[in-house]
Amino acid sequence: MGVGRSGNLGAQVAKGKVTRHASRSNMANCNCFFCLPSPSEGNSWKSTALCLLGGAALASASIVFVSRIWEKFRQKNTVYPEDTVVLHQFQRAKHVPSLSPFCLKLETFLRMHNIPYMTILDSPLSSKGKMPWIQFNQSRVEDATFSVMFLSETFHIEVNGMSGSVTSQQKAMSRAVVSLVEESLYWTVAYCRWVDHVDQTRAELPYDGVLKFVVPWMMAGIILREMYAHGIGKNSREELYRIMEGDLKALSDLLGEQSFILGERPCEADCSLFGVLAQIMWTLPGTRAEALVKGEYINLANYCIRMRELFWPDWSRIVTEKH
Amino acid sequence: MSQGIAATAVRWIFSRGQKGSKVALRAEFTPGKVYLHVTAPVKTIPCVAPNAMKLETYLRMAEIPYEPMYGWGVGPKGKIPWIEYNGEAMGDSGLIIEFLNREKGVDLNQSLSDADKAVSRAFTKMVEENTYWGLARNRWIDHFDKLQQLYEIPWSVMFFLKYFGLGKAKQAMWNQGIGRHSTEEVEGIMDTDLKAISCFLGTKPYLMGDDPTEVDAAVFGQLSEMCYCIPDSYLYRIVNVDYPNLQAYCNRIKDRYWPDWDQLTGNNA
Repeated sequence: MGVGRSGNLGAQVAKGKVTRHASRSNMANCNCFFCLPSPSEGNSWKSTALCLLGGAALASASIVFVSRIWEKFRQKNTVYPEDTVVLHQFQRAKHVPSLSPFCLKLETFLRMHNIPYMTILDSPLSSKGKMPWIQFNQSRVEDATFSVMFLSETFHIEVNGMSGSVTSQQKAMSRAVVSLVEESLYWTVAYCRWVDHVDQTRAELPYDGVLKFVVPWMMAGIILREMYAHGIGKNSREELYRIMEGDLKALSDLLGEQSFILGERPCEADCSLFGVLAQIMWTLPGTRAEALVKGEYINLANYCIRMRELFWPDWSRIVTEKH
Repeated sequence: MSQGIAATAVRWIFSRGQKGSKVALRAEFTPGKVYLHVTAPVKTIPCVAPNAMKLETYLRMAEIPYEPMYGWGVGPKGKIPWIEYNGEAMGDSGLIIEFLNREKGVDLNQSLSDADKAVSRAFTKMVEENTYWGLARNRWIDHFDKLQQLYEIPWSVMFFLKYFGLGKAKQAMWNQGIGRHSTEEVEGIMDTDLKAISCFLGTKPYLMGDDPTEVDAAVFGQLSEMCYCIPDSYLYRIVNVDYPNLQAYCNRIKDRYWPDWDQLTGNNA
């Protein structure tokens, strides 16, 4: 007396052929979805397996969801020391302080200007779904770029120079270089890491077990979707590498023999550039990106090492893989 | 024209954002001639797509003869503008410019040093990968009601765009990042970018000096859309009022490379 799974259940309910069971007592005669005849013997293991899988997925999703909500609640109610920037970011990685160029940019900026800060590792994402974000006394700022602007205002920093006057031309160039690094080079490096060389990336991740496979799989999807929306993802693999090479050449030419990208004083553009170059230098072994930076554009590699020595003297203590 | 828009919109929505699009090419073509596919001129500007303005300005700067093919059909990468050259379709204005530079032996940047070329590339990227999104957001979210007037499309196509296109545009902007910011934050980002261009330009006639280079085509492509369209928007105010050297710069390029501007815009396809 079953309705069969191929029928249009809604239509059949409307025609009166199927009635929803009003109580447990008439479940035996009921034809609604939940009381459909059980599958034949041969299919029972499949449906059991499906149920178990579905149940497991639902349970994991609930656990993650609840733990994140709890974490956000706990964060909201935690009192942090005054006048200290609280930097929320991802976990430390094996060979770099952060696998996210933006987290590394912001932390380098804090160190560059000797701003007192503390880090919360493995923090929940910001309300915009991104990382990093900061808290300072009662203020909360999301997005690395807005954080830099906020910190510059709060701590009276001339954003594009450590001290002394900076010409408006240099400020303008700094803004353009930041765009080149964050809106163009960054995507090509993200593609290289999460799509093209995902096996090497898996080895870099600070996770064990099943997360080592789930996280790269998720990240590849996110990156490809974001790249496609951005427009750069519509290019082929070769075209993306050509863009990467063009960007690295431009940065190398601009840097030349100087100590920093725009001269002898570091600025925000250096933080952005270091954030991305550090990923190429130390987390993408054997890739074309690394070959370019350590080969033809070696002044970028030397620059990277210089930035690390200047602003990260405790680098080897911070990264998780100790030498 | 509205059938073309509707057909493109339907194809776009049901393509689920697939990477390539099949394009219908001309059966006959003149070898070595560039057939430029852009949208038709409207009252305010010869083309409502910033990269199309950039590409067409580049063709005029490089004195490469071309034939405009007006329509809303997208190219092989699903974008406008695109070109047909020797029977092949090519998408992405940046790649097209690189190709034509090689093919036609053009180099608008030949007077620049390597460091200047690097600065030029940085400004091009800024204006196309950052400022562009602020413009897109301004049009599609802040001034969506003005889009019909700007694009000169009938209410039926506008209806289609509103109920099928707007959601996708918002999703794209969320994925790109700009969609996650508030309107005030985006205005701040745009002001910073446009201020950078204005400061870098200073009193120079063109961005890199006395002569126009490739970056001027890119910057004009984006700025012209802000300078001449949607007078209510803050972008119009920033370019025309807050940084008047940007307005002067736009007019300079328009007068030099678009002497037929009024003729084009007064004559709708």
